[in-house]
Amino acid sequence: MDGDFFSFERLVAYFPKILSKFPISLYVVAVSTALALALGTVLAIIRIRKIPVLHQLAVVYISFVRGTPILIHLFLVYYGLPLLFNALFGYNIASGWNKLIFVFLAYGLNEAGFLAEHIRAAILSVPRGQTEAGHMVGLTRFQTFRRIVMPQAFRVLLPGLSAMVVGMLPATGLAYLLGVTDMMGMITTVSYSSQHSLEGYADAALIFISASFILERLSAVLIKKSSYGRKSVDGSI
Amino acid sequence: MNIQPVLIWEAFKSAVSYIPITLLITSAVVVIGLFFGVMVAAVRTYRIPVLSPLADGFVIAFKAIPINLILVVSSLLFVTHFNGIASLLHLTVTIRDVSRIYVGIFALSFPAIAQMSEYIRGSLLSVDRGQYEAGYSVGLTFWQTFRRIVLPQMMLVFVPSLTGIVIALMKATSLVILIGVVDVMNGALKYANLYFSYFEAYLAAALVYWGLSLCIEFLGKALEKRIGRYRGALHD
Repeated sequence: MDGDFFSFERLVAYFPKILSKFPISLYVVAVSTALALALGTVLAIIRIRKIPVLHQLAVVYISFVRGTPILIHLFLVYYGLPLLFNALFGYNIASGWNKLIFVFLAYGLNEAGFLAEHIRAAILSVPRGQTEAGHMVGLTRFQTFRRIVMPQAFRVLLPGLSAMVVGMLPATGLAYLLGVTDMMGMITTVSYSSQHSLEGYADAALIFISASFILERLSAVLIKKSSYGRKSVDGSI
Repeated sequence: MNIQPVLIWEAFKSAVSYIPITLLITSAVVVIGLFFGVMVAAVRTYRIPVLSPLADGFVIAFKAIPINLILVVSSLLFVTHFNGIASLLHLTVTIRDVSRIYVGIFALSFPAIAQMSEYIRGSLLSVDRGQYEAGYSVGLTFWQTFRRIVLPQMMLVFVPSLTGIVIALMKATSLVILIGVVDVMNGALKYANLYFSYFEAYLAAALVYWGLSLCIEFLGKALEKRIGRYRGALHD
């Protein structure tokens, strides 16, 4: 049995099948990062403006998300959202919706809590005079934010954001717990007949390692590009 | 179907009784992570030949592999190979004698070492090269310089990030549910199958983890204050 425990034939045979599910991980990273950027910006602005009630809610939300495991967020969204929809609109979404939607929401809500602090620091790093200059030439508050503050804040946000995206990739390996067939889910499928799953895990590990290596390189290039020859900003906030 | 507060309370009580298990795994992983993390960071910072590329590879790999994958593979290898290795070493223990908790600690140690070493390395690099030279110039050896000059300064940078790592590792221990260890997460889910009260159970588990995180954060803040007490006096 020992000689057959790990075989390179199976490693090679499983590889394309498992790789074919890799886009799902990227998809989860991309959609949830977009969600998190939107929600994180809202949370950051609420905290900067210190809008009464909402400010306290945002603080509690961020503390909750940072203090509890992503595993719990996944299941809270998965079991909680249908309950919420049932109570509000009176119809059942548990069976109708694609499972990926729950995954996107869970990761998005989770990442937003972490990103909100980065975004807050990035927005605060833009000097107040920039906003005043925008108002002075007759831009509205939203225009000033979009055209003047946001581009400058984004440059500061980029190192933190890209570190988060790289760190997010391995975290997507939990999506299979909700029944989404991602790489981890595919391992179970391909190894079902042979009962040898170790090679599948090795394949997935290889894919994760190379993907995050590539992502890290790409973000380093992006950060360098976005600094336009200025002294690059430090990742710490 | 509505949320039943009674079931949240039941799950909460059950989860609270398993806090020691979660804390045991977390503290074991933190200690192992710190111990080997220091070595990995030292090897990478001072570029020791042969070892430093190995350490680089280790850190890159275990930062990228999902923790649940490491757990499942460890458990798989443990189940298939433990008896063989034990008999090879002439040990009388068999797989039944070893708690699954140790498999969890073993598996979680790898990502812990990788993450820990990154932060230690960062804080080590934050100390200026001139500090070492100043130490040497007054006749201190490398170890004396490190212990008396470099270490106190790097701790100021490291301790704030340590709080974050400990919380992250504590949250990661919730994954040991995948290999069947009964911790806070699994404890909260104990009655969920019975009453179909999954949402309530996860909510209760979340509250326990949140409480633990807040405690760790509080302790971290206290430690930060203590370590920074000389620095504070400098500005007065």
